[in-house]
Amino acid sequence: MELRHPRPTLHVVDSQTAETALVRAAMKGDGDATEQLFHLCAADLTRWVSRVVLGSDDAQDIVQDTFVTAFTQLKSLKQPEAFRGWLRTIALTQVRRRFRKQRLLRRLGFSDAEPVELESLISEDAPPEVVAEVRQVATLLRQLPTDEALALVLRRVEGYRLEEIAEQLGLSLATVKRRLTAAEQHFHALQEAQS
Amino acid sequence: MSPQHPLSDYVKAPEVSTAALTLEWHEVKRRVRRHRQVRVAGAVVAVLLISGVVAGFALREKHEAFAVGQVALAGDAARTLKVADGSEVVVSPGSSITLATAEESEVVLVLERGSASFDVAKRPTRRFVVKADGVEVRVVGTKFTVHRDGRQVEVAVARGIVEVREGDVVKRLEKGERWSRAAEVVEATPPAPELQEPADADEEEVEPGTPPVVTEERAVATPKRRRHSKPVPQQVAAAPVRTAPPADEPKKVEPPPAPSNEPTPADTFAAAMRARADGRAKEAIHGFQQVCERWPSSAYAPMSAFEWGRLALDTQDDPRQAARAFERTLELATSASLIEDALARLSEAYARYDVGSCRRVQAEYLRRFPGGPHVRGVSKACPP
Repeated sequence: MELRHPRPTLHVVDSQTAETALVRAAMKGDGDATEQLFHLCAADLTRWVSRVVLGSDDAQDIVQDTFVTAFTQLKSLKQPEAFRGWLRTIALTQVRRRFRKQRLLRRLGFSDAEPVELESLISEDAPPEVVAEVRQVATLLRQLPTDEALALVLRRVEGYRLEEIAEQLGLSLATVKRRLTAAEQHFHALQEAQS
Repeated sequence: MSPQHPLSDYVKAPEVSTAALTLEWHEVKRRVRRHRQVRVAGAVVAVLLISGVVAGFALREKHEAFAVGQVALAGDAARTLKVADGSEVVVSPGSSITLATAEESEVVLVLERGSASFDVAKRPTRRFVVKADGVEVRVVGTKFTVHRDGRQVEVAVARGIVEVREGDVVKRLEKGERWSRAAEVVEATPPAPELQEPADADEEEVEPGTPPVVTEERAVATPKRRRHSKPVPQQVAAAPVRTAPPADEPKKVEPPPAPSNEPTPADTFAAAMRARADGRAKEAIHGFQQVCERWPSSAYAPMSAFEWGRLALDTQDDPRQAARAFERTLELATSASLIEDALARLSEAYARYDVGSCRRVQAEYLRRFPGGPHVRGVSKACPP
């Protein structure tokens, strides 16, 4: 990725320090630093969101909304070095919002989501049991309550630890455990039903 | 519970091109800018709203609560006080007023000195009374001002109707009317009728919009009051109105305030008017003479001279004394209407004992007021 306004000083330090410096500059209203920060994080965040929503077409919109929210609330960020984690938290908030909206629309009889073509999401070298598991998680993602579904995705797809899930979702560890237990029960029930 | 192999290794993420990211960045930048503009506009609106609320609160703060028993003294600036019933009292600088009672059925305020305006909340079941040296003003929902200067009390009604009580005498004042105890006059808001001849220099100096002072019918009632062919429409009285000097004598300068135990021209004039209303004509004549002699430059002097002449002619049947009084009126008066009335009554007085003088006055009247209201009477006044 080529930066439009590279800063010479940033090239001599490690990437984390450079990113933190950009965040600090952006927090002071530096437009160039904000743009560089976007280019530095956007591709990574887009890929992560795409995995979390498992191929939903909303991924790009979610990423855009995430950056708009992040850049308008940048001054409220307490730890510049935790910028990426903060971005993902904002992104999960956007995901939750969209999932709740979709769920409401489905209850009202308006299905605004096209069926996901999972084949295009899954690697060709994935074992059959992995393909089956991805399908089951994708199915539950649209059926379970939002927090349960997200906990399941972060756990099964991203492999997050419970503490990480709690931090990303802004929930207590106990709550995450309860949500995840409920989601796993649904997951196993679905597995049994399909087997 | 933790899976051994996260599925992310087998879930493909979309490729993100630099071009797509550039487009995305422009959209993000546009939305962030718009968001900031909206936020700034919101902040401006919020500041304006808060300023408005603060200003409103500050204005409200100026309305002090008026507690029962509280004596409100206004120093250099006016004070606005709010009575529990919602009525508002504006106390003029240098004035003093006490809230004596503030109950469901009655609110009573006592004006010790100066002026106060009252915007009375409408409550039909509650009496709102303002007392000023024995004068009571009762209202039900109106706006009015009471002024007190020693024994002189004035009431001016801006909205609604008030009752002014002094002893057994009750007067009803409507919007635009003014009452003064000293002269017992009511001022009417409509402008004075056009004079029959151009207003003299003095009248031109009268402040535009200054209401004329009309002698109250009851107050000047005498058994044989007038012999004009029709009533004098705007009998100008030298009323002791502080804010609106008598229209006929704007140039007259009040003498310096007399010591408190000394009568003032206003007091003497008022006493004479009361004596006249009570039928004590000689006492009234004496009072009017006093005003003319002791305070000839007073605003009350011309009217006193005229009233003295009318009483002498109408009740005492003394044309010579009346002629002297009317001549004195002509010396003192500067108002065209008062001069017109005085000439007419003077011709009447001379007609009884001095035909030559009667004709002289008659000619003078007809020359000065050829279209005047007394032309007919004056033309026939002098005997052949």
